[in-house]
Amino acid sequence: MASSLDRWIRMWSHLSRRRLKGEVDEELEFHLEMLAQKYESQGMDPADARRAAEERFGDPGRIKKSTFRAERSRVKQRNRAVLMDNLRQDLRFAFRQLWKRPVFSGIALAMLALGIGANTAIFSVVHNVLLRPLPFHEPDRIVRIWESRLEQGWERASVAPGNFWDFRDMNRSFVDLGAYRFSAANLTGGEHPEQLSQGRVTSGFFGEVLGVRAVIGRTFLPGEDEGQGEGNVVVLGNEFWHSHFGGDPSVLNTQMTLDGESYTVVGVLPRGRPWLDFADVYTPILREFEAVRTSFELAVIGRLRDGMTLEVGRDDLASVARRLEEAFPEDLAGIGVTVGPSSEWVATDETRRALWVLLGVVGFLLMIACVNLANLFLARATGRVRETAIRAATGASKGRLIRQGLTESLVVSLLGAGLGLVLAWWGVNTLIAMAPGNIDGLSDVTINAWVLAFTLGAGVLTGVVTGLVPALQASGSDAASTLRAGGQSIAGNRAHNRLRSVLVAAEVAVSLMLLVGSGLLIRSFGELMGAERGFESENRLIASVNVPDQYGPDEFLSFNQRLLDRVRELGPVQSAALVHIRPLSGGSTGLGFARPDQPDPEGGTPWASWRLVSPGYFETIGVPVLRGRDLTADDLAAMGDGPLPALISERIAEQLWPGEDPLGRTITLWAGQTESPGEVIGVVGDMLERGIDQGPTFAVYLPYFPAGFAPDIVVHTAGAPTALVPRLRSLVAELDPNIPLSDVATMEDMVGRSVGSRRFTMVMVSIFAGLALLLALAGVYGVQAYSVAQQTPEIGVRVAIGASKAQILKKVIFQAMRPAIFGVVLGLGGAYGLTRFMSSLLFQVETSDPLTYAGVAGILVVAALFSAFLPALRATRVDPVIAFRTE
Amino acid sequence: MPSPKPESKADLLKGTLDLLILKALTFGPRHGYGIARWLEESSRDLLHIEEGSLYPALSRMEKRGWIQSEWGSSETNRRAKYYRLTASGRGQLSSQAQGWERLVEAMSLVLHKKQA
Repeated sequence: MASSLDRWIRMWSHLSRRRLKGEVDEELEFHLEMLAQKYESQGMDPADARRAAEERFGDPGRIKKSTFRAERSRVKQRNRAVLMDNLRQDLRFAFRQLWKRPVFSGIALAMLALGIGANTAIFSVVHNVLLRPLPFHEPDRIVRIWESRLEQGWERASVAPGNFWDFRDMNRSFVDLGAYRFSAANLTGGEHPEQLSQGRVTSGFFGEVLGVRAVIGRTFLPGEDEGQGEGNVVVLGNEFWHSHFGGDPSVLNTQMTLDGESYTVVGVLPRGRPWLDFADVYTPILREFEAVRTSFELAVIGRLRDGMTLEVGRDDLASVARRLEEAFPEDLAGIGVTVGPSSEWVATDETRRALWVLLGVVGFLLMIACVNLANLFLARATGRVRETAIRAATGASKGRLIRQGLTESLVVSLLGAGLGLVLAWWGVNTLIAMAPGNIDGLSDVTINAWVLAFTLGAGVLTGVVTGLVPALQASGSDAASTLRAGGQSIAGNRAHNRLRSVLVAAEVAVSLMLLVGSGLLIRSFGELMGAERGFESENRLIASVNVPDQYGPDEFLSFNQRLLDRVRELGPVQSAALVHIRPLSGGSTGLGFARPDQPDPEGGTPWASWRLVSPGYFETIGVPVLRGRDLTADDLAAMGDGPLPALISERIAEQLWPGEDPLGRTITLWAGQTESPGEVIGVVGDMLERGIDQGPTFAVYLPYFPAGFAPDIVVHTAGAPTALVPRLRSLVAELDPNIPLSDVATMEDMVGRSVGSRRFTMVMVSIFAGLALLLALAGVYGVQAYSVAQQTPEIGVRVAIGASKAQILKKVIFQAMRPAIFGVVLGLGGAYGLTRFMSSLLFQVETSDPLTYAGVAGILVVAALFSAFLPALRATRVDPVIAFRTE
Repeated sequence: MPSPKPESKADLLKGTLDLLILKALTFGPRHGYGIARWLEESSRDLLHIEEGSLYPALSRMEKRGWIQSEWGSSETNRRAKYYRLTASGRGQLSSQAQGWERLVEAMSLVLHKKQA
């Protein structure tokens, strides 16, 4: 061993260029002098002899240079070979060490697998959801376009069809604009009728604007949105193609019956989101001349011409808007446009923020795992201090020792990364199963090359960080004093102990920050679930009844009435009613409202959502009628003559008639649009209509008149609501076998879906924070146990001179708690600084919530005390006699 | 005086220096000066060698693994670098020597040919 060490040292000194040069000089000078001596002994005088020697030798300067060059290339090659040789030795050594200490290796690998696995899993989600490019050609040229009325406070409305066609024809900076209308169609001809989601698009929507091609067949042809072409054509979404036709290409040119009409399948779209798998089937929008300009119906996107910026496109459309405003001053007063880049489609701000926070959280988790691992290596380095000292004394260079330590930690961390990858693969599947459905791109998250690269990087970084600290420590200790102290270097231990305390403080601090984050999210979620919703969700079932457009008004009303009558006859039904957009669905309708006897308030007309409801809706959904009365069948019958009978939410009553009785008053509905008068017949409680975390809206409820909106039926049951589903289905089939029931859910499901993403974030952060706490406590325990073992002789002395058990316990625990308390204080400060990045994820809880901070600090202190206590107890049982013997 | 008379000496053919050095080391380790002296004696000073050119050649040969160097002390008790033949160097010597002899044989056959 020593001789090979010797060789290495010589190798490394060769690296020094100056030394190499010196050696070349020395060798050549020796030759010249010997030669000169020879000539002198033949009788030359010294100067002549030297000249003759140089003549025989050749120009010394030139030869030195070329010899040095040859030598440097030789030494470089040899060093490389030695490096490889060392690496092989270090690797063999590292694996032997791992194998020899299975407990150490097991703990280290488990911690690393956990840390790296969590990071890999979350990174693969982040990569797939946030970093992966959109599935379109040159997506930075694609934009989303909205209409705006900034004076009325809305910036992003869908575009009215009349305006869309003008925007498309009159702009100069877009290749094409495309429009998309969300719709639905009943598919018949199969065993059961089925409701399909239907996207209605302009001809250029897929090809010109998104730049996608059909995987088989074609997308729409120019002119198909203007009624030309080969009759009814339909393009299938990829998911639908697979779920209904098993991905069979022979689907082309087959016929489908949608809403009673026959359509020819002409193509299938590629997979992807957004837009592509939004709907099951796609049909062309038909252009109407004289299309409406005040009904906001179309989602509009556009592809900018090459070289045009978003700003140029926006200004261009704004100038078109000004021309439209001049042409239609009544309908389009104040019209503007908002243009947003397609990068916004990747994920909502909240999803984005939640994922980055999660990535940060698992990053911290890995940090704690690293600290623990560094501590383990450090403890082992102390155990091997004598061996290291001997090697240092026999000439192993610092660099060599550090490299060996690093090789060992890299081997451990790369093995850990491999295990972590397995864990991540499992974790990603669990995560997908747990996640709410509204994160695009989550379902096809995979471990791809980017993820592998990330994992490898995490492994290498971990190895370097955990290996460098102990290796530097070990190589830094003074060999001579270590050997003199019989392998128990006092100075070395003191430095190690200090470092260990710092590491403990760091991991306590980091885990505290994570716990504060998770605590804030848990508190938020508690607030959210405890929030006053204004409606009941228990034992409520909701389903869409897809009454087709072909039903005439009378047919529609009589169908609705028969449906409600029959449903109410079912045994467990307490009440049933219809609504045209179900609560918490995110679907929105808006109207401006005003008091006719008052000028518009400052800041423009307020905006309310409106719902068509059947009598009994409020009772069924559990919203109280505070004043006045519910709608009746007579209200519906009387519609058309006089003002619309309307119920308003409490907030509207307070807004328009503060302190007055609103009953019987006239309210202007669709203010600024159709200006329809309504009569307030009742006031109902506010409800969280848009989502549990959205706050109450202004709401207006009107009789369910036939306006082309298929109803949702809400049923309040006596027992479990899902038991009713089959009977409801067969009942609807009895009334009309072509009407499918769809989107069946309990109100509890709806509530769950509404808070799904918040719950997901909370659960994920809490799991990782919990793991972090466990790792940190394991760290505190490990360090405490180690330091008690180290101090056994010292404690023995104390016991021998009469220290009581209580005194020893106190001293040992105090010693362990000092870094922990320090870490708690540090962590509180860090949490205060970092949690503000998650303020948008919180609901009615401040990021500085004192309750959370105090609670988490308390939990950590108690837990740290507990994990310091067990080793301390062992310290009190030290038998002085045995303790001295170990010395 | 041994002032060299270039016209009476043979210039070294390219590639033959390696062969000479390998041969010089077959009788045991030598330093560079020692190699030069041995070559001078054994060729009866007929070869014109620029002695300095030995050193880049030695380094190159060491890189190829034919020889190994080690610092030691000389007959006059000075630090000097000694070169020793390795097993692969020995193999190299015999194959180069064979090649050389074939060349010499072919050359003299050609040069002694009397008629066309």
